[in-house]
Formats: sequence, structure tokens, C-alpha cells
Amino acid sequence: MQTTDLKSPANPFGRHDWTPYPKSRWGMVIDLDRCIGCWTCAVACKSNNDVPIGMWWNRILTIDEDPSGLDVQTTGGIDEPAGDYPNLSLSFLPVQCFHCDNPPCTEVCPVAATYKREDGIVMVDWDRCIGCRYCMIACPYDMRVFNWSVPVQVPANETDYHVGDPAKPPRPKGVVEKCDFCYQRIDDGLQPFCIEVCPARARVFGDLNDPDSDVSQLVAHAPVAQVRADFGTEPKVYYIPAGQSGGGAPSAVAPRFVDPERRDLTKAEVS
Amino acid sequence: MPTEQVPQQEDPTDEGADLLDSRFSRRGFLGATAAVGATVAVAASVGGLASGSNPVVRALQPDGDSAADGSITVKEQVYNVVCSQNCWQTCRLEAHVRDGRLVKTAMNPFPESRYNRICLRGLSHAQWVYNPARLKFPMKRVGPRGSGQWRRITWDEAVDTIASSMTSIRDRYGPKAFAIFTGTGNYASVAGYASSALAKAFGATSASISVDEAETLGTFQVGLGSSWLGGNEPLDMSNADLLIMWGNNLTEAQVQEWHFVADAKDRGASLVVIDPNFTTTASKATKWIPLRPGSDPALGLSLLNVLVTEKLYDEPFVIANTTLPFLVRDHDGMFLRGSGGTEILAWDLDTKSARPAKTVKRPALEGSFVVNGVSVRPAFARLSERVALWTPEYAETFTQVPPADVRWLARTYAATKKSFIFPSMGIDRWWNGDMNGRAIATMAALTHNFGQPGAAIGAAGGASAFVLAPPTGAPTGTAPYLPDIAAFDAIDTGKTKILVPLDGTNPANGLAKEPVEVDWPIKAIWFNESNQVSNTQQSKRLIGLLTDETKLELVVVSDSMPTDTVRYADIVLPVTHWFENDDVVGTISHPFALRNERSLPPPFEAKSDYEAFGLVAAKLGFGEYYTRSEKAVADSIMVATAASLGATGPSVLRQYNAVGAARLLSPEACIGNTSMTFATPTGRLEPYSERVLVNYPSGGWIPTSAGVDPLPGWEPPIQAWPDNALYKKYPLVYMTEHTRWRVHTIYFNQPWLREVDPEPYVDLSRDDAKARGIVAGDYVEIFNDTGSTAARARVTGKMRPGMVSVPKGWQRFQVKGDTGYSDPTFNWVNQRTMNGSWFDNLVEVRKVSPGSSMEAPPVTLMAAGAAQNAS
Repeated sequence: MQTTDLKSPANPFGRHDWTPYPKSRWGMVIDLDRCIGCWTCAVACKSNNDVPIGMWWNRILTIDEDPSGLDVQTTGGIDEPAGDYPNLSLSFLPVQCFHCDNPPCTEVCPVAATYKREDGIVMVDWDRCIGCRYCMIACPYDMRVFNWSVPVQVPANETDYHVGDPAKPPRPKGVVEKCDFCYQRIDDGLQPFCIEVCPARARVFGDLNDPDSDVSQLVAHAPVAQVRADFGTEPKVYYIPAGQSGGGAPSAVAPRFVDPERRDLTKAEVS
Repeated sequence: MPTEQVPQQEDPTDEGADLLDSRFSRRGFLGATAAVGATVAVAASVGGLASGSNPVVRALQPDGDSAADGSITVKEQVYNVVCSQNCWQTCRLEAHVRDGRLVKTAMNPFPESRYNRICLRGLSHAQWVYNPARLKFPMKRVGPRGSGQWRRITWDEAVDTIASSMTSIRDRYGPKAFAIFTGTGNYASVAGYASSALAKAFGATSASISVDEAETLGTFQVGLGSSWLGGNEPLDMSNADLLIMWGNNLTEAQVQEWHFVADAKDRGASLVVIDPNFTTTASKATKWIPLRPGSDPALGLSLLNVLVTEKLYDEPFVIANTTLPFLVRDHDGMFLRGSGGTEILAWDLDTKSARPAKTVKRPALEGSFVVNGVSVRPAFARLSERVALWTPEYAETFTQVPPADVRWLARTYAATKKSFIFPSMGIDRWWNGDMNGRAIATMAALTHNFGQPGAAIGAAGGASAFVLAPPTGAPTGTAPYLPDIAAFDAIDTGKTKILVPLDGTNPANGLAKEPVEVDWPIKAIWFNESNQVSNTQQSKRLIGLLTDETKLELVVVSDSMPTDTVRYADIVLPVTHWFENDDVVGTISHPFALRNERSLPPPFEAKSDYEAFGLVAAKLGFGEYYTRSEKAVADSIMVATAASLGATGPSVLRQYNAVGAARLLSPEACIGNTSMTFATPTGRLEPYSERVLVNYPSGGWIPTSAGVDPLPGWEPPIQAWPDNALYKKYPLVYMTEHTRWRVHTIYFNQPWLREVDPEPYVDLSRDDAKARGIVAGDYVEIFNDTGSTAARARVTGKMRPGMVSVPKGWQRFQVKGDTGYSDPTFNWVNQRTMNGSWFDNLVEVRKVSPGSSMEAPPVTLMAAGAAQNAS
């Protein structure tokens, strides 16, 4: 047993502009050749952020492959392949807030409750949010969820005790929520929780402003794509489309990522 | 030994409570929240936007000396724990504890980062630990068995009841009439010791599952590894150039193995997946080879046909290390031995005579000879003759696999020196599962595709579960063993069938082929770490035995959750979750021993398995085996293990003490079969065997001369095969696949998982759905003459037409009509393998008709909870 200190902001609901990494621009790369759609990232997110029942900040779409541009066409069911037996294909797309560089959501919020931090993380201030849901309409990716009623969090509903990060409080009814890249973990020097759990080693996180970071290397050298880049939103979550690496051909991923230890799950610090 | 002591007082985290900033009282915090949730939104909407106007925030504000930025520091205790069930991934986790409560599980680094692991289930433990349905108090049945009516009793009364029943049964029937059934609900060693020590000391029947046996029996027959025994350690898959997943959907059932495969693919390796259905693993394949369900041995024989007829085998290797040059007597299939009766002979092409095989440099592999009046042929000739029939074209009529694919795979397998076959349970759960194993291992034996990095059969090399030693001071001897189906026969009739020594005395001289019925009454049973009602085939048979109160005098079930098996208990014992006691855990899928620390106080009156069995043992006079603390027993296991490892023992112990995770065997020692001595009767690889291994009811062998097959061969599935007339009535093959949402039945009631996987579904192909007028979302019944179950239809391109699948693990009270996924399966026994043929079933599917009993809503979860609350 070890004891660790966790820092919890004085007001976990309010605005959190401050970051120890003001020069960073956080981003993520997900290798869809590796992703097996297991939902570990999604459940990790639930547990770290105590996301209420019925809501997911992080979820896995089953998609019809479209290597040309990831224009996401879901196949209509979880794990449902595209095509007819035996000519089938199956691809997953784990999605969450893309923390766009040009986020449409912040433009429409009438009360400045949704805002972008200096390090590029798009945040929601639950003190200010009035539940108008303009941001949900503005988000072209459908990444935001809304507390229509008093949120049910499990096991808190039975035990009066909340799981996850102490900075993730039980939210009130009537606010919008979404992925915040586990900003409090980043501020503590840790990577988002979904990164250190992926059994497939498909997720990579880091500073896009640092040309030597793993994410920058992948963006530079791997065939990455953004979902509907044509929207001009500049998502900071990139994907290596399925079918682009491995499979009996020399890998198309960035060369240093052929070293398996490079991908291992760690308690890695963000910088 | 570990220096950190987990305090053993009532609340192990009292110490932690002091560390927690008292101003950040969780209870106060939450009390405030519950009251003001709605208020916040209202306040915000009328413009109360200033930070600090929020009453919840005020409740969080420290009174005084907060940090300059106003932040609060929260102390968390982080314990080493282990996720210990039978997915055999056995993840080392962190239990994050605040205020004595589990608030998160997280990945806990191994000493080697490539084994770092956690999955969606391991992340949901708080929803198990604090599940409202957890069993809280010992209970005694008051209604009929299975009625779910109990009253709360004390541990004293429960222990007295069990001990006096055991004594009474021993007096009347002998100790064997009390059975302790231990399943795979916990891989932890002290928990395992808890039940086995009492079984041994008392002389009780030790009963357990009968699955996962067939494929392993087959590969073992040849002398190589299998899905769960032997081969190379999992990370070595990343060294392979060709990976063949045969009946193995590891991206769902063993998710932690996948990244090793992905690593190999990144290096340019090919992945071949042999599976009737388009699984997630198949979707990742370089080449997916779909085949008719149950036809896998025919595919194996056709691959062998190509290897033999195209001479793709490694002839010097085959001569030096397999039984194939041995001369086999035509009349009885036994090896020809020299005058002393010990040396097996081969035909020496140079001297044109039969000589001891190990001295022959150029043995005949083909031909027919007469030696001292006995007609003989080399074993290779027998194999060659066997596989000659199985041309890819002939096999196609069984497998529906195009011959070109078979030739491509055989040639690629032989030409790729680092070829790794990872067979798994998809080919195990068939009547002919052992024949799959024999064919696969023979492929490796012919090509020497094993015993080196990147080449193996199976990925369980150096698995720590098989290295951990028993604790010191354990009772000696073994308890009489019965696998589940044989044990159920004993409950039913007071008799069971066993294989007896051929010579009437010594099983070491071989067993007779035909089993003999013997008296073996079982009058009471204690299920622990087992939800066998849900995990046995044709569970209605077991339910029938349990509800017929003339069969069993006492049914004890210890569990933490109200499972299908708990429902039929006379005495229910609430036991701990893994995080609530100390233990040490070994596994199948990595070479590490993992320390499990007691991180949480047992809730209500839950006790560990060790305490529960210890209390009963003490009553019976066997208390001496349970005097130490669990941690002391765990430590003694590690000390004994270190001693068994010789020179490396001290460093293993140091690593265990320092980090709570120790590699037991070096990476080199985790490459299986590097020496050319094999665990077979001849010490060589045995594509041809004169002693055929059997599992019935426990290990032994039958001589080939008694009429068992010395070679990999074809045997059709017992039911699910087109030749069967029943196919006309029930034209669909029914399987119960393992998905990522549960491990067997564990995690059946985890809200986060149930959000994504809310109810039982059945996967149907589009053709089969259309033919039956079924559309996605219809409620359908899956049935045959044995039983039926119900599920929501998913109509999917994934399924091979002619197959349906219901994921394993739903509890009956979660299924409409109070049915189970195993109801349309069969409780029959293959004598060779003692293996459950879970997928070897035929069914039909139809829409649930209005008014059918299948429309009855699920029973609420579960009477147990209600009974406890009422008491």
C-alpha cells in the first residue's frame, strides 16, 4: 500500500483556466488497426469521471470503413460488420470530444460556460452552464451529453460514495458534460486515464506543439486522418485508419512505433 | 517478506481516514449534494454565476489553510490487488481507496511493461464491491429448495449445520459422499488452498468443471502445448512471422493477448484466423478462413495431407524426435520392441533389418516389413496412409474450405520458420475437440514449428499458476476427484462410471476402454468459487438434482453475489470480494506471481473462503490447517515456490517483496519444448501413439491395442453434423460464445457493462432470420428437445448461416421465461476427454409467440436480496 496525494480544485464545478503547461497543445492519436472495440477506454472514462448512467464521454462506434476520409457511417449495431457473409469488414471508432482547435461549441455558448484553455482543452464550467444545449447542436460530432434529470451515478446511488477523481463532483441536473482529457490528471502531470488502460495499445497522447512527442511523430509519419476535417474544426484527436498498418506488409505506422515497448501502458507523465 | 502490513483491525483503512483531510468529509459533501442538485441549475439559470455561490462548492471549501490556489489535497491509499477470475489474463491492479472505500481500480505496472494490463471489467470492480445485491449474511433455506426463501442465521449456526452434516454423512456413507465443488471463480492460491485442504483432510470428493480439456488432451497426446498449458509465453507471439488463431477469439475472450499479435503485425507478420464466424479477431486477420462448425479435425487432416504429400515436413527432425520412424505391429497397432521388450525398433535402410530406433541413422518411413514373423510398418506409413484420404478436395466436402486455401496455409506454415498456432476454446467445446488438438500438434511436430522464439502451439509457456508451490503444512495426499458430469451422475444414482486398470490392479499399466460403474454416493455438496448451475451444460439437469430433495441432504453455496447456484442453496455463505483479503495469485497468461493485498474491510458478515472453510474444519478437528493468517499462508506459498526455483529463488522473493509481482521463470525458460525430451510415454513427439491419453474421470491412458485411435483422425461432432437426422428438425448449430462483457458468469450485474450490453441477445445470420420471418429486435426462442431459452434477435453478417450464438454468462433471473443459455445444450460425456461439448448442439429458433411462458419477465434480482432485507 502506498499513499498518494491528489489535488482537487477548490471549486471542481467552476472555470479552470490555469494549467502548468500553457505552451502545450494536447492531442491524441488512435490506431484503428489495433482497436478491438473492447470499450475499456469508455469504462475507464466512466470510472475516472464518475460519468452518470446513460451517458458516455467516450464511446465506441462500429463503422463502415471509409479510408478516404472517415466520414463516419455506423453500421447500425454494436460490433456489426459491414458487408455480407463472408465478404465482411469490421472497424471501430472510439470517439470523445475532439478538443477542436476551432471549436464551434465555444462560439455559441451564450454564457461562456464552454471555453478553451490555453493548452487547447475544451472545458465546461458547470457553475455557468445554463443547460441551453446550444453547444450540443453546434458540435458536429455529437460528443456532448446532457443531464436531463438528476444524474444517477453507480455505486454512489446506493452507497452515498462517489468513485473516480475527487475533482469530478456529482453534477447537478441541467448541465452539459463531455470529455475534458482528464484535465486534472494532466495538471498533476499524468496522462488521461483512457491512455493508460488500452489493452490494444491503440491510444497515444501528448503535446502536438512538441515535434518530438509521440503524437507529433505519428501525425507527421503515419497516415492519420481527422473525422470530417472538411468542417475546418481542426480536431486534435487523430486516427490511423484501419487497414493502413500491419497485415503482412511492412507497417505504415511511424517507424519508432514498431518498437512494441514504445506503446506500452505506463503511468506516463504528460511531458 | 513484505514489510508493509495491512492492519487487521475492523477497518483496515482507519489509518487512512486520519490522513484524509477531515474537512473534505465525503459524507458531508454528498449529503449536501443530494439536497442541492436541482437548486444549482435553478440558481445558475437566474444568473447566479459567480464562483462560490454554489452551495455544493461551499460544502467543499476548506475552512482555512488551503493551498494558495484554493485547491484541496486528498489522500488516497493505493493497494496491490489482482483481478483473479478465469479469463486467465490475471491483471495486476491498483485499488484506490479513500476513506476506507474503493474509488477506482487502475492499471498497476508489472516489472515488465509489456504485461501491463487492465480491461473494462477490471475497471468496474467498485460496482461489484458495492453492489446492492451482494450477499450480506449467512442464510438458511426456509422454503422449498430453489424458492429463494431463506432466513438470516449466524455464522455459528451455519458452521454447525455444515459440520454436523459432514459428520453424519461420513458416518453413514463415508467421507466421499460429501463433495466440495470448486470452480474457477478465483485464481488466488490461498482461496484454492482453503477448499482443497478441507477436501483432503476430510477425504471429501473434490469436484470441478469439465471444460477446456479436449483440445489440450489432444495436443498433449502429441507432446506439445495447448491453449492453456505449455507453449511459449504470450509476449513471444510478437516474435512470430505467422500467427494462426484457431477457434480463438482473443480480442474478446483474452483481450490482453491481442497487443502481442498486433505487435507482430506491425513487424509484418501475417495473422490467419480459422473460425466459422466473423469475430473481431477475424476482422483483424490477414486471412480469415471460415469453415463449417465442428469440421476442424477435417481441416487439420487436410493440412497434414499437404504437409505429407508435398514433403513439407522436416525429415531429419521427424526421424530424430518423433515416433514416426518406429515400427508398428500391423495386428494391434503397438510398437515393435526388441528382444528385451524395452527398445522400440525401426527399420534400418542400411542394414535392412529392424534395430533399436535410437541407433538407426537412416530409418524407413514407408514400406512394409516382417520381423520375426510379425508384420510391421513404420508409424510414418500409418500417418501417411491416414492422411492420404484427406486431400484438400475431399476435406472440402466436410469443411467447405476451398482447397487452394488449405494448400496455401500448409505451405505457408511449413515455409515460415516462426509459425505460432494459438488454438483455443472454439475448437475445444466439441465432441471431437481432442482430435483438433492432435492434428494441430502433429502439424508442429512435422515441421518443428515450436520450441523457439516465435514458434509454438499455445501461449501459456511458463505460466505462473503451474509454478507456484503449495503452502507448507498443507495436508498430504489427494482428494478423490470427479469432474462435474460424473459428479452429477453420482448425485443422481449413487453411482458413477470410471475407467479401471486393464490388468485389474495397476492403472500405470493402462486402463480398459470401457468404463465400469462403481458406487459413489454423493449426499451433500458445497459449491465454492463456482456458479455451476450457470456454468454446466444442460443446467436443468443439475437444477433437477438440486431441487429433488431426496438426492442431496445439504447444498452449501459460498459466493459474494446471488448467482443461479446460490438460488438452490440450503446454506448461503457470504464471502469476500478479492480485494477484501490477502492472497497470492498465479495464472495461465503470464509468468508472474502477484500479491493481492487486503484493501477493504469485508462488508456486513462476509468472510473469506479461507475463514469459512477454516471454521468448518475447526469444528471437524482439522483446524490445524487453518491457524495462520491468510497473508502468512500466501507468504509460505512464495517461500516454498522460491525454494523450488533453486538458484533464482532468492531474487524472485526479493522482487515479490519489493513490488508485489515477481517473474517466476526467465524468458528463456518460458519458451516451451526447447529440449527434445517430451512429456509423452516414449519421450518423443507422438503423432502416432500406442498409449492414448484419457481424462475419464481423471488422467490415464488406454493402449492402442484396446481399440483407441493412435493417430489424429476424423470423428464427427456427436450432434451438430449434417449426417444427423436431427438436423432436419433442428438445422442450426448453437454456440454460447464468450464476450468481453463477462467472464463466464462473473460481472453479470455491473451497471456500466449492462448499459452497453443490457440484455441477452442471439446472433442470427441474415439468411436464417429471413427464412424464419425474424427481424432484428424480435424476441425469439432458441429450442430443441432438451430445453429452450429466449433472447433478443440480432441479425448480423457476422454469423455463418446455419449457426446461432447466445453469449455466455447471463443469470436465469435476467432472462425472460426464467431460462438459461445452457438449457438447449447436452449433458453428455465423451469418455476420452471428459469435456463438455458446449457447441455441439442443434437448435431451431422461432419468434416468441404471444402468451408463451417465454414472455414471462425476468425474475427480479433476486429473491436473495429481498430475503436478506426482510430478515
